[in-house]
Amino acid sequence: MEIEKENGDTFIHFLLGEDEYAIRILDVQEIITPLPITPVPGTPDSILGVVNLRGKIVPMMDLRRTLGLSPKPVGETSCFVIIQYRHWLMGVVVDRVSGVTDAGEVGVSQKRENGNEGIDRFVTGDANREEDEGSIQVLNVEKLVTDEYHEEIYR
Amino acid sequence: MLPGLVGAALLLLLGGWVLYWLSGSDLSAVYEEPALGIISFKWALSLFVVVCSLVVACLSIRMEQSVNRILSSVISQLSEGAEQVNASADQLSASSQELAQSSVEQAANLQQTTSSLEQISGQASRNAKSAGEAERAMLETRPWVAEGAMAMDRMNEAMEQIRHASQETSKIMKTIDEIASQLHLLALNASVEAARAGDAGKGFAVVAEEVRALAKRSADSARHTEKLIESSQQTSERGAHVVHEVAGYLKKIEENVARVNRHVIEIAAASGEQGEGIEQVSRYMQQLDGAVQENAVRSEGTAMAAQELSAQANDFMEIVRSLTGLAATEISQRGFSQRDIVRSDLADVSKLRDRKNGGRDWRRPVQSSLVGKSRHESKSENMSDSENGRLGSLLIPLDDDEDFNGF
Repeated sequence: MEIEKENGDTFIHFLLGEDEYAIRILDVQEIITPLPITPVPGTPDSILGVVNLRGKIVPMMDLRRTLGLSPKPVGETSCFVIIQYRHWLMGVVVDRVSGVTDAGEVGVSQKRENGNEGIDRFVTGDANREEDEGSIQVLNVEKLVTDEYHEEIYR
Repeated sequence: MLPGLVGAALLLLLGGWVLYWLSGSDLSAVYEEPALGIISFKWALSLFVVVCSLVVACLSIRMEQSVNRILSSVISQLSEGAEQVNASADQLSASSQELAQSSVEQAANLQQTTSSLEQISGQASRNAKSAGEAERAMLETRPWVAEGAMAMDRMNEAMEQIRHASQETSKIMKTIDEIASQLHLLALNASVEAARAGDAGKGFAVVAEEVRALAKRSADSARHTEKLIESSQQTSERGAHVVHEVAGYLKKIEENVARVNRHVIEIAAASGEQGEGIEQVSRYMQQLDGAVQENAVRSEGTAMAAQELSAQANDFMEIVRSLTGLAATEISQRGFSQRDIVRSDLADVSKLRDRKNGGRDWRRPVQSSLVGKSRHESKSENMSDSENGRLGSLLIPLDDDEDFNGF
């Protein structure tokens, strides 16, 4: 089933290890170079801590852990992608932002079940690209932010 | 004996004639008177004359006998001496000829040795020359090697500078890479902002996309350049390593060149000394050659003198033989044998020899004239036969008239 396709729907895609993931550009507030993360006690394991983004306190989510990937420390090329859903802000650590893609150019198909719980939960579909380039898995931001695991943070 | 008898007879004749003369004269009367009473003066005188004649005859016979004995002794001694002189002269001649021959052989050998020495001397001088040239070449090479070592040091410095510059460039490239990645982020944020702006931000989104592509390109280029710089850095490091190796080899070459130089200098000096030594030996050999040639000439002269002496001794023997013939009859009558006389006193013989030589040693003028001649002749290498003959005549001053007059 084709997902609803907005006019001018554009994705920002990024790398986590070998895999490439995408987020709708309208869900992204900004992309920043890594800032110092302050750990917060009593938070779930998937929350690394908080950062101070120009006076706003933004929680940082370990997307690797959430998606069930192997952990990796923040590197030179790492970026913080600040996601905005309604009035909530949340940052995710990505290895590298690889580019911006117009959804008109690539069709986004129904996601494939691959047995990974995290991916099955948050990935909404695959953005088809040229052959041999690998697929881009589109993440469901609403679910990421409002997941029952994190509800308590934003309450 | 014969002259004694003849003398006695002559005296008897004289006595007879005196008697006859006295009997025929006017004074015979005076003499016929008996003076002594028994016999007259005339008879007394006659008796005296007869007695005198007999006494004279006896004396003359006695004298002749003793003279003959002395003469026989002298003749036999002379004969013995002449034989000895002849034998000695023969021996002297033979040994002189041998000496002359061996001297000539020696001279030939010496000439060969001298020519060999000259060859060796030539080789030694060539060696010395080559060693000198090698020494010069080594001396020229030494500063070049040092220059090479210095050039290697400079090259090492240059390599170090290249490496330093590469490091600096590498840092700059890192900065460029960082700038490119920040630009990339900026472009992404611009894209986000453009998307937020909706339709109004569409143009801006395009610009942001372009900027993003540019940032990506510059990042790629920066990475590429960095890789290149890294490889050139590695190459320059390898080059620096090679420079170090070459410098080490050059140092070894320098040391060896110095060593070779030392040896070549030693060889040159030794060759020079060798040449001088050979030159000296050659000079000595030439002197020796001259002496040997002189010896040869002298011994030839001596041989000739000995032959001449032998001939003279033969002549001497002839004269002695004729003398023996004269005295032979008397000796045979009186039963004298030559052997008895030969066993007489040797002192007499030596005295006789001294007398024969007239108190002077005839060898002295001979030798002095020979030496004078040889010295004069030694300047020329070989003597011609005519010259030898002339020398021979000069060598023998003996003259028949002079030396055998006494006999």
